[in-house]
Amino acid sequence: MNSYTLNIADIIYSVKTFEKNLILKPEIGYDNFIIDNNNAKVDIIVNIKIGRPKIEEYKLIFDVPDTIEGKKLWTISGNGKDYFLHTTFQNENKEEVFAFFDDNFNKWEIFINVDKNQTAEIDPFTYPLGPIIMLYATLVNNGIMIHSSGVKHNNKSYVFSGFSGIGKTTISEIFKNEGAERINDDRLIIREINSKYIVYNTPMFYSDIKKQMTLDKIFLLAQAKENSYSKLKGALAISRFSAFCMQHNFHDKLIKNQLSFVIKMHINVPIGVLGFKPDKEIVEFIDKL
Amino acid sequence: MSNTFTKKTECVIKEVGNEFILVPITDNIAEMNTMYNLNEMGAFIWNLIDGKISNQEIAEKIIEEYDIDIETAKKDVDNFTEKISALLKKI
Repeated sequence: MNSYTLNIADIIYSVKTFEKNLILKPEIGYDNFIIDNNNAKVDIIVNIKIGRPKIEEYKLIFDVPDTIEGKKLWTISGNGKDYFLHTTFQNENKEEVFAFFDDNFNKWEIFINVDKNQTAEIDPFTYPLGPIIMLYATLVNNGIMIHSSGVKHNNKSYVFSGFSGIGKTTISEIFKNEGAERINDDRLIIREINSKYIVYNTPMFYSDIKKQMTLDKIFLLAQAKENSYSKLKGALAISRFSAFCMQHNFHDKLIKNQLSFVIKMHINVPIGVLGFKPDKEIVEFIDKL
Repeated sequence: MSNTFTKKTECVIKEVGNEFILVPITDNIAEMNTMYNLNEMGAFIWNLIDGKISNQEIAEKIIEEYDIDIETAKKDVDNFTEKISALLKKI
């Protein structure tokens, strides 16, 4: 395949290559997000090329201290006009990648540093590049990405977020056992569509169908001996919630978009701290709020 | 002698009701979740810091705007610049 179209959170990505020896092969998690591209209005263009571009005029502007096998997981460099993300795909072949974008964050030119004479199979959305493209695309399309789980129960939809290990998966599992539909328990996108806040799942490493729901409440989880709820307001609600959003604050546009979105959302969707005891009583407790 | 500070990093500031949120533009993922909640006075002080005006002069501007005495204003400015010292450089 040399082109395909993705719909992730109702954001349309056109993914294409004109390289003869490059075959685009999306990972299994993306299968259910591929759509027919006949009538779709494209939001994000992703073009893939083979080669190693010239990068001498760029300076490092965003650093990620994490390394894998002695290499930085990813970095961003800029030249005052545009940027490139340098990474190594976290897959078997560990291809080196240079992904160029500009201040609009809606057009990507991705160079894969592989032998031009050999046929290569590539998924340009391989970690870490895929989630980063999705993050920036979401932030410029009236949305945010957040580490969280989401469930729909009795026609109400809830998002649970919090620090790693606090119980996002546990609480969504409890809800699922009580008959709720689980959207995802790791990474969600929330967008404002026609004055409603819609929660979407995103492609994972496993296959899952596309899901979405209209958001009613957001809970920031805290472990507690008794179930409790405390609604947050104003700047405290914004900052506590934002701590769990995915964000790379190297560019003022991304920060402004994210803050504006959360400020508007918190007026329409209550954000509160949920102390919860990990048993099924929490389902009734939340349903009664 | 009163301190004078300049901003070490560019920030985005957004108003939420009568509070403000300050987010620094960062060059490092380790600091990507850094965010400061400011009250109206904090935002007033932040907007004045420019590398030229001293804390003493900021305090004098505060008493023109707010109903507080100069000693309290000076203390407020010093406390604020200490709280956000990661974003400031002393001149």
